[in-house]
Amino acid sequence: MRKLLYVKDSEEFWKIFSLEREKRQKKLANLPFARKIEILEMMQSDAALLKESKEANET
Amino acid sequence: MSFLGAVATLNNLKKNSIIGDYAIGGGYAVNYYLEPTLTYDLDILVLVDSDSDYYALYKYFRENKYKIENVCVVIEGLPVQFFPSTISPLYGEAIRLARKITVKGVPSKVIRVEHLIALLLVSYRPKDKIRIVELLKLANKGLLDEILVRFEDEKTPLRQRLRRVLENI
Repeated sequence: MRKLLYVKDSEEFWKIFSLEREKRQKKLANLPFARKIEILEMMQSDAALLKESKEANET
Repeated sequence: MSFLGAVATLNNLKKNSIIGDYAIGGGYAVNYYLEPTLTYDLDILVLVDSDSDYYALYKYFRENKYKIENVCVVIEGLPVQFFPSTISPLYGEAIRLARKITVKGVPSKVIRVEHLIALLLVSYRPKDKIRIVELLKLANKGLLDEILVRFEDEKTPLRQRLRRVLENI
């Protein structure tokens, strides 16, 4: 990812960015299902917090 | 919300013959195959012999004071939506051929990636199309084509929909 900081050309930037993202997605996809469920439950809890905070800010 | 608690409850209901065989589909099945993405409902494909068996299932949940939100039954804080096999033979086959899995010691079944793609082609929402592209990399193309041929009809031209998804990448 550090390599991205030194890329000046935008086409090159997005090429490296996509490759890095694909690598990260592949790594996450290969996690055990139990670990994915833990991550998902963290996301659900974070999303609920964000929703609460949004509602609190809007009232 | 507890996925494991909900699955353990489903296993208990199955053991006591309240529900028949079942398999995980929808967003949780996508999470099984791909990287984790946010989802709120647990979609459960369940084998039933008739529509009345399906209604009996909801009757059981109502009588046992489970919270019911629209079509979802809240089990261990997780909204669970049941899809009966009477919707289409595709659902029944997806349950019967589902993969046996164990999550932290809790046994369950998750539908095969090829059936998951076929079901996403049936629902065919914008988010389904994105998932299909990623799931295709994991699928047995021959088996997928065979499933699509057997379960498509004029209203749901599954192979044509798949072609459109691929054309729009």
